[in-house]
Amino acid sequence: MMEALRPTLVRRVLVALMLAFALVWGVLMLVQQRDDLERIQRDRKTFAGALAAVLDKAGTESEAMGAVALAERMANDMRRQQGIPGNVLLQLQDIGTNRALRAGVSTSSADEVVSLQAGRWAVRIMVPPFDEPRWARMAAVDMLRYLSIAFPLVLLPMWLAVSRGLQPLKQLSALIASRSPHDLSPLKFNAMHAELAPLTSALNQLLEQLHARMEREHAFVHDAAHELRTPIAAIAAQAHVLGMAADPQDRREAQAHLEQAVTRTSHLIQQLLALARVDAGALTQVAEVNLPRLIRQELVQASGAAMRRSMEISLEAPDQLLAWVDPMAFQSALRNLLDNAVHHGRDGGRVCVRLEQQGNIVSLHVLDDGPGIPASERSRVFERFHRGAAHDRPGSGLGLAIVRQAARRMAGDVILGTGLDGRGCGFSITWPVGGGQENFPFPR
Amino acid sequence: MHILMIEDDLALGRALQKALKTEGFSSQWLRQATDAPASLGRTFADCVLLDLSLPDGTGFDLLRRWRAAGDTVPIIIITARSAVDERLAGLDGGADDFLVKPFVTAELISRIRAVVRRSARQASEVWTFGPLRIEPRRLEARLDDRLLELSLREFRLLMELAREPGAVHSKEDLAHRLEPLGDPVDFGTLEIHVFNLRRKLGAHWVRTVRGVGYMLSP
Repeated sequence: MMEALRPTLVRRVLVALMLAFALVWGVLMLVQQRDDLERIQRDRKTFAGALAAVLDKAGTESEAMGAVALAERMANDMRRQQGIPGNVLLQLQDIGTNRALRAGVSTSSADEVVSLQAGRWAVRIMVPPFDEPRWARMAAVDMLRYLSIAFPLVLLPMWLAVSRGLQPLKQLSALIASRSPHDLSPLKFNAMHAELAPLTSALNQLLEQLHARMEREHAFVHDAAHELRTPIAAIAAQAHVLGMAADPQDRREAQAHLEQAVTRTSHLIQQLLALARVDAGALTQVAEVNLPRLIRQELVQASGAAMRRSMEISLEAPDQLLAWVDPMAFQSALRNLLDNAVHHGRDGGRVCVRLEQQGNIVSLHVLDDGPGIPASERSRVFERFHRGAAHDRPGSGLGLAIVRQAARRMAGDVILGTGLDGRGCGFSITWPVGGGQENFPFPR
Repeated sequence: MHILMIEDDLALGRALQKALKTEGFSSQWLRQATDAPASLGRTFADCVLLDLSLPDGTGFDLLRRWRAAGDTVPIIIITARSAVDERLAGLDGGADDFLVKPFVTAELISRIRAVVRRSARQASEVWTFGPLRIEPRRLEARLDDRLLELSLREFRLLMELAREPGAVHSKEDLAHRLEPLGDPVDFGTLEIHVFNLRRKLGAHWVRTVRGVGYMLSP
């Protein structure tokens, strides 16, 4: 039963049409009433005018009385014929003698009075008041007759038009339903009606995005597995060397190398997981975060490694800066930038982190005074699995790819500029912070 | 030293137990949370290695239960999940340190030693850093046997910094710890206390990491 009561487009049209007709009916009634009232006034004028003309020619009392009596009878006969209840009453008076020749008492005190004067005769015409409810009933019924003829004549073409109009929609649904679940190719549907074009193009856009995402994920898994081969091969080789090591010194050395290889692989796995997490796809989890606090936590974490290399880290930021961000994306980006700065910077060097806000753009800068990145490599540095040409400290090549992806996830981006004192690297992430969670822009 | 290890994986557990033995630790290896004791006091363990990713998912409950019972034995969490909130939740839940698998065994050993050392120091009556002696229970600190005239907040500041000497403590952490029961002090006030502490202790004892926090450098 509920199925039958669910709103349908066709029923909506039907209801709208009925409401429209009801409105037309109401308006027409008002117009009709005005017209009828005007007509009544005109008719009265005509009647009074004709009677006046006749009385003018009446010389004696009996002529005048006869004319008035006749007029009264005629008026009431006409009323009878039109089915109007109540009687018109005419009073006659001789102005000269001031004698009432024809009096008459009306039954209603609400009568309208029309007075006229012709020669020595004065006539008062008393008309019963306009019976509005009766008029309304009669006019309504009349109009209803016309409207009920019009209604089906209007309904039929509209019904057909709407039904036919919905056909393409049914065809589109059938087309989509008939596809295989693995088919992400664009829909080949010729939307004849302008209103359906946005739907088909939106669907096609969605399919394209899904397709792209799936391809990206496949590529990622493939790349990841591939990247892991080399470090694991190194582990296998080192394990072999360890097994062959004769004296304790050789053994210790081989063990150290083996553990290094394990650390490298472990780091690569971390990075792969971090990259998978910030890759577009998973829903963004936004929270209101005090950024300087988060940054300080990360800097405390990084300070261990920094101090081991006698590096000095510092932060320039307001004491508090609240912003709606994806905390995981932000953390991944900052952590990778810090790791890079500390690993690739020079011993005894500096790493400076800066956070500032201008309007609703927040920017995070991580600058160091290390050897920097040669101009020739700067454009490629954010690519996945790209390792610098001169790398004495092996990395995964994923750090900056993670940073860029995280920045994009926050609807921002990262650029590489100059570091401290005109040397080294300066990475800047800028992103917009919305007015609130509902304003959070969708990541690319 | 005696280590209690809760680890379900056979290969890893076996390897760790052997490594611990080589380093001179004795160990007890349990493979399920349900086998773990309700309280750590009776196990005579100097340190606990707890794998959070136990198959029945009860690693956290164990941690919480022990801390709720008032056990102060140092606990190191090892886990395969590296999510940041996991780490923070573990440390907030009362763990003393956190290691993500895979880790180099030498790293684990050094962390065990560090955590036991820290715990011993904190449990002791006197914390010594060269010429600096801090007696937490008597709220006294001496430099070269001379008693330092410190306000309550300055003493608290010194104590917090001394919990982990050579490590940076963030401004937020210190601000909270200076007023454990009330609202955290603002950073300006914190700076003043640091300034005063430096004046009384000697400038080189407290290092500033600009914008981040402070550090005790003995």
